[in-house]
This record gives sequence, structure tokens and C-alpha cells, in this order.
Amino acid sequence: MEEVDDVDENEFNQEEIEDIIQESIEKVLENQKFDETKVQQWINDICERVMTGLNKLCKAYKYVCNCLIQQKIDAGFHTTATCVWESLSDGLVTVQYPKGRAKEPPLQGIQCICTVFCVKF
Amino acid sequence: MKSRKEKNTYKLRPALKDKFRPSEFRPRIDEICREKLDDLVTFDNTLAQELGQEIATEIKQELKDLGKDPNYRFCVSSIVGEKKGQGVQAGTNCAWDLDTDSCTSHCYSSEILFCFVLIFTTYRYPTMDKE
Repeated sequence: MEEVDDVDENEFNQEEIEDIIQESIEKVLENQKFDETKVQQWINDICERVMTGLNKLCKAYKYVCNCLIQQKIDAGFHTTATCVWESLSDGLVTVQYPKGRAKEPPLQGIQCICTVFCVKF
Repeated sequence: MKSRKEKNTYKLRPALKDKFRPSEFRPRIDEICREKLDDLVTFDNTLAQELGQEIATEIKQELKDLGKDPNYRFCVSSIVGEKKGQGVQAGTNCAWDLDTDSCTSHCYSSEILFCFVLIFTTYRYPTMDKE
């Protein structure tokens, strides 16, 4: 029997989750400059907004949201993720902010990477 | 006639001996990071990417080899960055079952780089497949 290539309502939808993360980061970090006293609060806000958005989807998934904020400076960093899970039902979504080269000068700009792991239960 | 009470044999939680305890695994994360990153003198972009992947893969393999309950799902995330005096902050939020799921993290730091490793373990409840 041929399988229909539709996104099942109970399955993991990459675009939907990307939109949630992008919106959460933009609401918190738009027009902000790096301030070490506020970073902790920004991270908590972003993670909470993402979690609220994900829980509203009401899917049978467990979520882990990881957010990293770094000052924009001439330093590289890489994030890697490896997982043992069901490749058909589980997945991860990563959003980088800002996309492409930002206009702020170094030491004021912010780089943010937010990763959400979705594991079906 | 006394009616026998049937014991519930369907398990929704891992057995205590098969439960994953991430705090026991933390020293091993430090060992693996030191093996791979102690000898580095300069930060090279491509090398850092490869080392990050190697660290995550090795940790994932060791987690599998621990032989805990097979319904556990593991996610290993490694972040390797150059140290140039910038500020970095990371945070995590989770929506899961506190009884079965957990996480651990470890930050390794040398003179030229830092490596942050995060491990999440979630439990997939067994389903009754009708054969």
C-alpha cells in the first residue's frame, strides 16, 4: 500500500517549530546590545517562550530547549549534536540568530543559537 | 472463594537497576574531553568542528555500551568555542517526565578553547504492539 506523503498531525513538524523559536528569539533580542547582566534573563525568557509555544502544539513529544548566547567577537564556535533515537519520529531543530552577517559592531552584537530536541514518548 | 489479585506486569518505568544515572557518567565526559583537547595549541576552525563531532560520537557510543534500559533515548550536544574574552551564557529548559528523564553537563576549559557537553536522556514508554 502506498504511503501518503502528508505531515501527520502527531508527527514532528520542523517548520512549525522553527517559526516558534525564531519568533521567541526576535521578541527577546531585537535591538538589544550585549549586556552581561541581562544575558541570564534573556536566556530564561527565550527558553520559556519556546517551551510555552511547543506545549501549545499538544503533541506526544518531550522537548528539550537549549539556548546559547555569545558576544559577537572574532572567535569561532561549533555546536554538534549526536543522538540515539527513532529517526522516523524524533528530530532536532536549530535556529541561528542573526542570520547572515549582522550590522552591529563587535562587542555590542549578540550571537544566539537555539536548539530544540523533540523525542516522542 | 478467595479471588486472586493479579499483579500488574506492564511496566511504565525503567527498573531501578536499569535507570540511567547521569551524575555517574560526568567524570567520563571530562576524561574524553581531556583526551581530545588537551594537546591543542591553536584554535583551528575545521579541527574544532571535527573534534566536536568526535567527542559527541564517542560519548554517544559509551552511553549505548552502558547497557541501560533499551527504551532510553540519548541526545548528546557538544559546543567547542575559542576563548577570546567574549561573554558566553547557555541555558536549558525541558518538558519531560521528572521520574524517568534527566540531563547532565560538563564544561571543559583550556587556555585557548572551551568545550561544553550536554547529555539528555529521555525514556520512551513501551507500547503494546498487537502482533
